[in-house]
Amino acid sequence: MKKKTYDLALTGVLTALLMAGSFVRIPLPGGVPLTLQLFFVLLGPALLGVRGMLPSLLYLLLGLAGLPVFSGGGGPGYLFSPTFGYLLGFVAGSWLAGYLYPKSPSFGRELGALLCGVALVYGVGGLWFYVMKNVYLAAPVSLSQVFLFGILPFLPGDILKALAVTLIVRKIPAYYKKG
Amino acid sequence: MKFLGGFTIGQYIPLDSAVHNLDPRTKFIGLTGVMAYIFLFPSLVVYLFLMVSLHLVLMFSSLRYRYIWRGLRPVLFLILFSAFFNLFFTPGETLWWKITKEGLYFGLLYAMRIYLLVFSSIILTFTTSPIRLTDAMEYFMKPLKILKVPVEDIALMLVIALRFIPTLLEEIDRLIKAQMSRGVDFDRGNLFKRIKRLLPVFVPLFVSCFKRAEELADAMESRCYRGGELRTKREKLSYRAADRLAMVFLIIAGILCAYLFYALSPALFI
Repeated sequence: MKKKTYDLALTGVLTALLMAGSFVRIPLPGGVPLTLQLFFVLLGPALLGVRGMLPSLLYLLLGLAGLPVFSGGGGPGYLFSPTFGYLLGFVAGSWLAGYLYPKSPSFGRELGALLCGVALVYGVGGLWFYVMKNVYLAAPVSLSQVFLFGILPFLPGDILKALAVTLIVRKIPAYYKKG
Repeated sequence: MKFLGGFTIGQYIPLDSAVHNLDPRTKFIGLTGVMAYIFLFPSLVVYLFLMVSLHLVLMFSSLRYRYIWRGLRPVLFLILFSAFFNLFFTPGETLWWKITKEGLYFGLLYAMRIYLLVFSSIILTFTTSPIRLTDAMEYFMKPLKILKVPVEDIALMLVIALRFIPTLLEEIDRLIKAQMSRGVDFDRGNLFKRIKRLLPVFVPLFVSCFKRAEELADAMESRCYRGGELRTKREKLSYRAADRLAMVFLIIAGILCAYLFYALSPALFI
């Protein structure tokens, strides 16, 4: 089996996983459900390196083409939604994480790479949210408000997700050989 | 207990209608065109005209309005919110309390804009099967080949992804139920405990992903897959007379929109 064909098949399956996984919600006390989207996004770079941005990119393409894979539907109109930046951030963040992801196993550097990716997701997402709200929807919000309501509440959960990815990806080879 | 909300990639409703039988590329261009009109000519008159035209398209697609409504529900809040925000917070000539003439106008305008955007993309996805949609995407991405983007590979990955969504959803459901039948309660405990309980769901899920990818790659190579460029399609896209007619309608609609926007709208203010 050629590596290229395998990578292609794996990228396709991981994209499906990202889309299927976005629909798994863990109900939390307080009402806001925990979604695991970022978890599956970060899985790409952890498994495929720089090419790990592909699942996020394909997800974005399918959603923009009109398939109902985004929260709240899909379609090109989503481009103007204030939260679209997070989806763009997924692509940018998973690219960065894949770029920084170490070739040789090192827990600290693996986690560090993923966290840099998370930071970029929020950077792009927050900025898009800010610009869209202020320019397009004419509903002014300040940057500090964006940080307080759009970033801060999700940060602890997302750091946990990066940690979970690092842990799980290390576990996979052991299980895989056994099966 | 439901972890997986009502997710249907099968939004596509296979019918035999004029809109269904159009080439997916035509529908893609049509959608892009309608969206361009929505953003280029923001006025109530134009939006009313587009609304009537889109309802006509819906009629030709033999879809029931019920389906559109189902697709609109998730964005209903966004529509109401933007209408509300504009209604009360736009400065201008006061009509009643804080409601201004401008507020009423922009509230309606923004609500209709979202409605039209969603409406048009729903028509596309409900009348075009996902596979044909990716065919159209591949076609439009072809210019990227100059930049050495592996367009055929990307299209194939998209198709694989679409194919595996239902399989993986089933798998997740099965794994969660397997854990629940062993007494795991996903609904209790603090955040850490809940995440920890998901480990026995996700590790087998990932392992099965690798296995499926491996099997798929083997199956592809045993059928002589050698990269995308030499791949041919079972069903080719074909551009027919109906597609040309649809394009003509699209252009006429664009000219009408521009006329309504520049000639009529200023006179009516709206």
